[in-house]
Amino acid sequence: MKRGLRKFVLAITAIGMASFGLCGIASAAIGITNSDHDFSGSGWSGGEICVVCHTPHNASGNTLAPLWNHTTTSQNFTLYSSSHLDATLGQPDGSSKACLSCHDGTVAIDSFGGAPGSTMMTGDSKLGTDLSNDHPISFTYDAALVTADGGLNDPTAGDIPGMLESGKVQCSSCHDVHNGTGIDHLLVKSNASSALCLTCHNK
Amino acid sequence: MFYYKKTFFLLGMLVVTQNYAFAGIQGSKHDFSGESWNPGGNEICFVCHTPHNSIKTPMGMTPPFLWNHYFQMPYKSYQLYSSPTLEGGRWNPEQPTQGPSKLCLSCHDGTIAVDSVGADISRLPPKPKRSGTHKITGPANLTMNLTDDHPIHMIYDTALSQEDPGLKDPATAPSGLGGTIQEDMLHYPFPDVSAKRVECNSCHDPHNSAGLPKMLIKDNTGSDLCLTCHNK
Repeated sequence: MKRGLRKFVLAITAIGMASFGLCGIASAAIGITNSDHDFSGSGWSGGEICVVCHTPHNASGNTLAPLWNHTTTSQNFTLYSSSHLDATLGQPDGSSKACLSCHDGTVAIDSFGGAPGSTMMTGDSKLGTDLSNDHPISFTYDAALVTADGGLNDPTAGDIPGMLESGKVQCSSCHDVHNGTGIDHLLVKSNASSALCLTCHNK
Repeated sequence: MFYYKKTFFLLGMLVVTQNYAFAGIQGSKHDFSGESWNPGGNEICFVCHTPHNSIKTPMGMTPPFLWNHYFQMPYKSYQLYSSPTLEGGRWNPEQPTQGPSKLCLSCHDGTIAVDSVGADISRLPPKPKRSGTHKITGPANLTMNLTDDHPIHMIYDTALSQEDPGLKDPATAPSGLGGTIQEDMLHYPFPDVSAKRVECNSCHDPHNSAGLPKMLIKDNTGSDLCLTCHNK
């Protein structure tokens, strides 16, 4: 009996330690520090994290993002198109333009604070100026769009209101630039069983 | 006796409810989130779609719907359906070089693994970004020989229904889904929007919206689906 109890206590302790460990790992990965957007280890960053995008003084005056410090892209983008697209797409605006100021591959990541920079983005994160093979952004997602499309969920329900920026779908609808969730690809929520996709898409 | 009736009614309701419960991609035959070979891990959409860097062909073509499943590059010809009763000319089924059927066949012709996704077009011939091994087997594998399958990628317009009295006028005949055949069941082979065609998704919904067997877009009891177009 005593031996059984001891085993039970040991098992509970082990489970507790294991879950604590897991939590510990998960929390460590949340936040900008050590995320894919932490460039403090790159020589050109001067060891800082925030400065690549923001500055406390003498910001650009551009309101794409608070106290914006990065050189802004001036590209004209090729937009997504489809015979099934009911939304009206314009050139990227809002915070998406800030994202594309690195991710279009035309502006150097280290082009901030007035410096020209020379470190260009490469690989899959570089979307280029051709956005025809990327999910559309910078369009209004409202009740009228839902009615026209038929395959979209009500934008006033569930997680969707928190994902829109002034009523529009932007990069920030799916990605949290500051890695607030600690999920791969800086996603705003888990995409297990494609839950992120199915938040809006009624399939 | 009354109670039996009630039981059967309730059982019937259960079946109906269950049918509806299966509507949608989740839990359907196209939900591969539980498969160990799924290149997207536990995701559903990724086998066919991706939010970024969807497939482009070396010719600069971008298939619709942020397409992510590898397809044959360069294109290989299918053996097409033929019959003396086809009207011929511009109404003949054509090679599905573009359009929705091409996307379906990128798994269902059995030549490309379901888990082959993305396309690396930096070399010729292109290769999948992730090459898989899990090919379709059984009756869902239509093979490159489409002579024993209902014709697809075939223009179906009012003029065809006038040539062939066995077909209803797609511009006026109701689909049973709210609009006409032309509105609800025929598709443009994007980016070509010159004429709507019969494609795989004229009868099947790959996202299982109706929750019907074979992912049909409408119930085929009494061959209702066939008789939507065929005037027999």
